[in-house]
Amino acid sequence: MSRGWLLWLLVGLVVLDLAFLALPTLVVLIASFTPGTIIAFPPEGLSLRWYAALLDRPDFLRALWRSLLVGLVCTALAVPIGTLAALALARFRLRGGTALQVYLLLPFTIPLVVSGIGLMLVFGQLGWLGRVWPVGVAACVINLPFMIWAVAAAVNHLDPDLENAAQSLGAPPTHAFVTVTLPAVMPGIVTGALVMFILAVNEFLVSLMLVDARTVTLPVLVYNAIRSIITPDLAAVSAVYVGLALVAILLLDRLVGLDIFLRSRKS
Amino acid sequence: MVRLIEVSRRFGATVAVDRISLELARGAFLTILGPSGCGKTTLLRMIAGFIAPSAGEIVVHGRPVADLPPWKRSIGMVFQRLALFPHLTAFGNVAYPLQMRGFPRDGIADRVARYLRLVRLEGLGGRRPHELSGGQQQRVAIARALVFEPDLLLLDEPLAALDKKLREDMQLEFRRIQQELGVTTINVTHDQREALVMSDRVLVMDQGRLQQAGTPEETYARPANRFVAGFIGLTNFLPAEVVDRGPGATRLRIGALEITLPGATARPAAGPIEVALRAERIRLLAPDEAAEITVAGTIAAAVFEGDRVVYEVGVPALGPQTLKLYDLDPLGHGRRRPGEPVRLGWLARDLLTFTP
Ligand SMILES: Nc1ncnc2c1ncn2[C@@H]1O[C@H](COP(=O)(O)OP(=O)(O)O)[C@@H](O)[C@H]1O
Ligand SMILES: [Mg+2]
Repeated sequence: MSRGWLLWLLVGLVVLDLAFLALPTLVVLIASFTPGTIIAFPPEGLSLRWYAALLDRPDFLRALWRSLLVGLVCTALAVPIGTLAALALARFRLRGGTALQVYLLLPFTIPLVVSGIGLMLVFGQLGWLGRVWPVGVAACVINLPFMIWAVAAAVNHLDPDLENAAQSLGAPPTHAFVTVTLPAVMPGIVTGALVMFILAVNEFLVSLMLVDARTVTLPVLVYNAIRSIITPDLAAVSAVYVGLALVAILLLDRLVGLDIFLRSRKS
Repeated sequence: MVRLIEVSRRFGATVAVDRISLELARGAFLTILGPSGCGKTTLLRMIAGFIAPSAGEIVVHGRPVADLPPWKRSIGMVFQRLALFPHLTAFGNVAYPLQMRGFPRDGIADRVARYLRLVRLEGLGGRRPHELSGGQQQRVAIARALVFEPDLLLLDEPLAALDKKLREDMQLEFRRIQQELGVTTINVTHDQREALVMSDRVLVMDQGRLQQAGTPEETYARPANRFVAGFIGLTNFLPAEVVDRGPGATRLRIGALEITLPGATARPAAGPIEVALRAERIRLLAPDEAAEITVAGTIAAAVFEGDRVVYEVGVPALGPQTLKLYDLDPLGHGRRRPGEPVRLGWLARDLLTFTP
């Protein structure tokens, strides 16, 4: 009797929890279909008016393109660097191993403003301010630990003798790396790449400090917009973000399988 | 033929492998037996070429292999944790060495299928390692190590992780495949039963050093030293003393018991020695039964193991230590209870003597 009660309490809590997680997203999504001129929930009807309006705004399309570019630059840098770093971390007792581990904890300990100011100073010296691709570099520098984690988790699953096995079967070291190690950690690489891409496309605070009026990224554009009047096209922009995230999750499920996030470590 | 000549390997101050020499005929099955940490894996890694010996030479089929990296040696290895490639199917795993070693493409599928059949995995080639059972994974690893017909097969305790029943089945299975292909094999284990069951020759190692090399029978019947006597089989050790060393016979005192050993087995120097007596050489005597050496005792403990009972018997004449022995027919004459008086008997020649 009391167990059943506990179960229902638990189910209730989970439902409530999920509702609170999903609710803001749902509200915005639904609101974006309003035909009216002010953002409202529930919407006064259903239309794609504001999505069409987005397509008519070159500033929006350009900001979206810049954000995608930031994501691509960030991912292109993070994949090789993060993969090699994770493999090295797993394989060798690195001299700077402790330093690297501290670096891996940084995203939790250093506020983004601090990283942002640091990057602003450095990029200013290099003359990189006000351009788009350096934002990708910045996103990579800040978020790289996520990439390393994703790959390191995959590496830790592997049998340390995998490359030895490949070598004794006839593969020289580079062959063994390309044909065995890399494919075996590919799930981690794909996961890390998608996470890095999404984080970079969403990157706001650091972008804000590195771009100027001509090079705003999508999150900065949204921020600038909400400081004036909040119109339903902002809800539509949010829907674009939700769409991007969904695409990433679908890709992840296709390529890797979402269960790797839920499954505990196999022996 | 495989030869190791005085091969050693140090890691800093520890000597993991200490001047091991061995010789193995083509097609033979050698098992290296020793406790965990005695240097077995290190020895195999040197033969496979993953690490270099600190000293000594390894020769495979007449050719010193010191200059050959692992991928140029013709050695198949089954690893302790198998090291199957997780992203490849069973078929892909077995095909891998053929692809890497440049076998003609159109022959690969047939060859892989043949080896999957050999290890009784036909029909399962499309599965990934995680979709196979432990025993099936073993078989993939074996097929992968053998498919390119290596000069030498190395097995690094691949059966240690399996449960008892499956392990015993796989021991026979390994032996069957090895004999079918006639591949020269070095197996490594800490399981004495496995060593005795599977091999033509056994090499016992402890702390990096060779303790004894011989056939399973020799190793069991005539252990070269106390370590081997204690490591293989269930053995009782008793402190003893040489009382008299005549020509052709030695008198020993074990506790209050005096025993004459026939000359052929007597080799102790005068003074304190240690006597070993295997559990299965001691018989529980029926009331009127006689034996060369008999002692009276009391059951201290009885452990029923199904096919046998292991008794511990206190024998006042031998001192405070109990003797372990088996009753191999417990259903035949019933189980004795602790406290019951018994008589034990054995032959003088079953006593092995070691100088401590
Ligand atoms: N890479 C290494 N570095 C340092 N010590 C090692 C290394 N490999 C093995 N050893 C040491 O060498 C000894 C033998 O190890 P190993 O060959 O793995 O034993 P076994 O396989 O018989 O259990 C152990 O004491 C172990 O700690
Ligand atoms: Mg080992």
